[in-house]
Amino acid sequence: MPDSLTCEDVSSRDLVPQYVSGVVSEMDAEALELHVLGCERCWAELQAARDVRAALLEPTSRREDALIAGGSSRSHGRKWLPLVAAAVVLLAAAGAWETWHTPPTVPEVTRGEGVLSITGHWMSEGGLRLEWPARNGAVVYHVRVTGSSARPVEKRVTLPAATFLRSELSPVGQLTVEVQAENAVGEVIAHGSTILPSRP
Amino acid sequence: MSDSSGRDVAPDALAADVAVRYRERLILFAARRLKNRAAAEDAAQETLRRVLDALRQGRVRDLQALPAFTFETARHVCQHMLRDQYATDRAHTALEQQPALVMGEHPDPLSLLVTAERVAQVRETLESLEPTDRVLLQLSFVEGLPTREIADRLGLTPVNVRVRRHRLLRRLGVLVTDSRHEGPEE
Repeated sequence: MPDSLTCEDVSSRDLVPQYVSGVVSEMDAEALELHVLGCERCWAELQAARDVRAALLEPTSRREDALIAGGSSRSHGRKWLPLVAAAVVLLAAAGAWETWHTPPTVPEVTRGEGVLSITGHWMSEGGLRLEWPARNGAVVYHVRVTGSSARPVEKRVTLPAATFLRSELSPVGQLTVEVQAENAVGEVIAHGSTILPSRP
Repeated sequence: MSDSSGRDVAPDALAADVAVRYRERLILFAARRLKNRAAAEDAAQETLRRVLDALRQGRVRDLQALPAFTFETARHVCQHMLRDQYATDRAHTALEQQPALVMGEHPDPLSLLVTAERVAQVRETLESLEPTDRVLLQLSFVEGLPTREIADRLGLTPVNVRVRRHRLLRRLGVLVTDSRHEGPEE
C-alpha cells in the first residue's frame, strides 16, 4: 500500500506537476493516486494540470480542428466556421506548396536573420537530442520531427533543446526536423529545419 | 455497512455515488499505466464492477477503507490487463504475426483523456496570460522541473511559484472551487 499523503505533502513535493509531466516516481505516483481518491481539491488540481499540459502540448492542427468542429464555447463562433475552415485549407495548401518547393536545408547551417541552426545527436539508447541557439523574444519553441514510417511527433518546449525517445521516432529512414520559435503572442519569429540521417 | 460516524449507509446508494465519484479518477490512473484510452476505460469499468460487487456483498464494512480498497483493485486490474497483453504479444510473435498492440502506444497518455473542445478552451485562456506565466506553466506541467529550479529561472521564491501556479490554474477556470474540498487531511 502506498504512503498516506496530506494536501501539504502534495503541494510541497510538487507531486501534481511531476505526475502530469511523467517525471514522478512510481511510489509517489501511487501515493498521489490513493490521496486523490479521497480529496476533491487535489483531484481538481490534478485534472487542471492535466488539461493545461494537454493544451500546452497541443499541435496547431488539432486546435484548428477543434475550432472547425465548433469547439469554441462562444456562441458567435459558428458563423465564422466556413471562413475559418477555408483559411485552414488555404494555409495547409500554402504550407504544402512551400514544403514541396523548398529544398531541405543542410544540417548545422545558419542562413541569416530569423533562421535557427539545428544540431541533432543520436543518443546511445537510440533517442534523439536536438539543440539550437536561443532566440531573443522566444517564449516557446515548436519542434516537429517527421519520419518516413511513422506519424510526425511534435513538442513545445521553452528551452532551446528537445529530446525524443527511441519509441517516439520512426525506426528507419531519415528524419526531417523543423523548429519554430514563437513570441509571447504566438507569432513565429524564427524557424529552422534540417534533415538527419537514419539512426546508426 | 457504516460511515465514519457509525451511520448505516444503503449499499445501492453508496454504489451509485462511488461510480460517479471515482470513474474519471480510475480512468486517469489506468491511462497512466496502460497508455491507451480505450483500455483505461475498460480497466475503470472492471474496477468499478468489482468494487460495487464488494459493497453489495458487504465485503467492505468500513467506508474509510473504500479509497484504499478501490485503489488496490484498480492496480490489480491494470496489472492483469498488462499481463494479458504481454501474453497476447508473445503469442503473435511466436506465430510471426504483427503484434496487435493495444497498450503502451502513447508517450503522453494523460493528454488522451482531454477533449479537443477542452484543449481549445484552455489554450484560448493560456494565450491571454503574461509570457512569464506561460513559461511558469510550461516549466511546471510540460517539462516537470522542480519548483526550486523554476523559481531560480524566473527570479521568484519557491513559495511564490507555488502560489502563482495555483492562482493561474484557478484563473484558467479549470480548478474546482476550494469550497468543495473534502480532503481527509490538510
